[in-house]
Amino acid sequence: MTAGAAPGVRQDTAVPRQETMRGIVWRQFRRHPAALFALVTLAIVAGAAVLADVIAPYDPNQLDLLNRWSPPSFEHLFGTDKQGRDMLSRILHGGRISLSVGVLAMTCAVLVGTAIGALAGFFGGLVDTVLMRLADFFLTFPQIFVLLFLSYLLRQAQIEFFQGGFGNIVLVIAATSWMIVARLVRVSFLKLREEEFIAAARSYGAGSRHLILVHILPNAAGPILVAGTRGVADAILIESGLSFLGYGIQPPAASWGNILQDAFTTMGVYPWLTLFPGFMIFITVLALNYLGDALRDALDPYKIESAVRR
Amino acid sequence: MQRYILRRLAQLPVMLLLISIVAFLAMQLVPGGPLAIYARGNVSPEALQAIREKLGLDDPIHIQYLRWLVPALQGDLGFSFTTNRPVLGEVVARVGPTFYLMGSTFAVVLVLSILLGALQAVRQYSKLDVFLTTISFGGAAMPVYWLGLMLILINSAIRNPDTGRPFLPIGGMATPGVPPTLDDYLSHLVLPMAALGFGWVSWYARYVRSSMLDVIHQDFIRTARAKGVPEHIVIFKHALKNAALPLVTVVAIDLPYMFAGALFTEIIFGWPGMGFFFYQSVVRRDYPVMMGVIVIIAILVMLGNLLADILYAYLDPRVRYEKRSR
Repeated sequence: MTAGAAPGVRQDTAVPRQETMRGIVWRQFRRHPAALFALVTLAIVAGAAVLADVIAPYDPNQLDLLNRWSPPSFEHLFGTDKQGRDMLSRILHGGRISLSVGVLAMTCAVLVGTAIGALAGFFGGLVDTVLMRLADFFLTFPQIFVLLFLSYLLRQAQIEFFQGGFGNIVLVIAATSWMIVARLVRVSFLKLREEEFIAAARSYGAGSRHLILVHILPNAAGPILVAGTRGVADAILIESGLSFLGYGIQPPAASWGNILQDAFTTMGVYPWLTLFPGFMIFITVLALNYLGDALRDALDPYKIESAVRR
Repeated sequence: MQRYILRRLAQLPVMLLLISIVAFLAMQLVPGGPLAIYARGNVSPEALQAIREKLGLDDPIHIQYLRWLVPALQGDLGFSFTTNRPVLGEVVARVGPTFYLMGSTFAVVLVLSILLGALQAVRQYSKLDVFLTTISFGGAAMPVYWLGLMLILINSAIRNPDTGRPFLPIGGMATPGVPPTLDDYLSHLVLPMAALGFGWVSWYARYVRSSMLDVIHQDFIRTARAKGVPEHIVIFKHALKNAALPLVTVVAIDLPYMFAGALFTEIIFGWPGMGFFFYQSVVRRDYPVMMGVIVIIAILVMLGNLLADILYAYLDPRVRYEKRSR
């Protein structure tokens, strides 16, 4: 679009715009009605979690026994809990833990799932059968029962990775959440391994590792990204749920789930305490779901193709 | 079809065996083992040793497993550490309430989501469609446990002017000590059902909407319209039937997730079902009960999946699970 373009001549019809892949995806992404909402919400929630130390008005574990259960006020925006701790500060710090559990657990689950799916899809045969039966098993058995059982075992064995059960919960969520990604990756591999460019690469002497990592996996990145985004939302829900049941993040460390559990025990008298932690879980999961949805639309090969053709 | 069902039924015991072995081993590998429950009180080492000997915990692990397995095959899953009653009876007593909660919620969820999804598809991009889509995204992101708490709060805020009490009870399955009435049961069911079902209606309405949109644009619908079939028959008989069919498979895949939702619902509303029972057994470290619930749930989920497969093949004649003989 040069300044010297003749008036009335549309520059973009004269010179076809070279749109990058990234540009197309971004344009498709923005078209989703809630994409912007999702990005802004997540930016705020994540920013608040990262900056919790700076913006939290109080120390999240500082007791103030004279000010227990105080209702929301200018001094304590979200009120205080049963030990007089400032709810806003606890929710900010809890967000840090809940978000990092979600992201970490899903990262691990995606890595495990990708590895299993890639092995199953690439090698097929017995490897495929065994791994997929394993995935089926984990998919059919209600996850929360397995999670409770595993958390119980870890606690019983007094195994604790990092403080407050943080590592444990990442571990158990990852161990029970890899199946969806594994299936997606497997299907991509089954499809792609018959393609001609793979045969071509093989004819040049490419080994299995090279084929998997360089030629096939990048092509499966889209579905993995979408499933991973949704997975973070699920992991946050699971973490909160387990903490709500008392088998997740252990007090005094705060997570949205165990703040909610605390509030649940005194709900009859101090109902407002249940509002904020639950709402934070809700809004974060909502934004992540929207993000996953928008990403799926944006990365849809058919839509990208039609965008290129136009 | 029969061969397929038989093969699946034959897989069931193998899976169960594997599950029970894994659960048993995991339990034994934990320091303290099944006796962990006694370790927190001041039980003398001699008494602990006596219990170990009585339960045979010093025997090799495969002997111990067989000692659990052989009676288990005859329906004897051992005795609860906390109540001393047979595990099987205790678990089975909880299957009913869970089925009652999940089954009735499920029926309502299916009807609502099919109706709403179809309505949205027929009026695509209308204000109603946009509104319901927004709500359904919210519903899918709502944690069951928080929704349950919010429902309790809302319920307690709305009082019956005559009695000054909330309209709906929030605990248990029925009022204890009162002869059971339908009214009492239904009023206890409303809130748990709403908490458990809202998310599922959201998911399935979205599913039915998109599957209905696919079907509406297919040729046989145009043919039906061209033949002069009235619009409501086209929608309900021709389109909806085909759009709702795949829901059977989706539902079967989601069955385990529903158990999870039911667990939270049961805990919040004090519902005497399996989820609540399992949670209690974990808190009380009641290991025979944990084993029992895991085995029973595995059976139920596998049977549920098999049932869904059979139902799907029955509903959709194109589905064949066996290789066709040429």
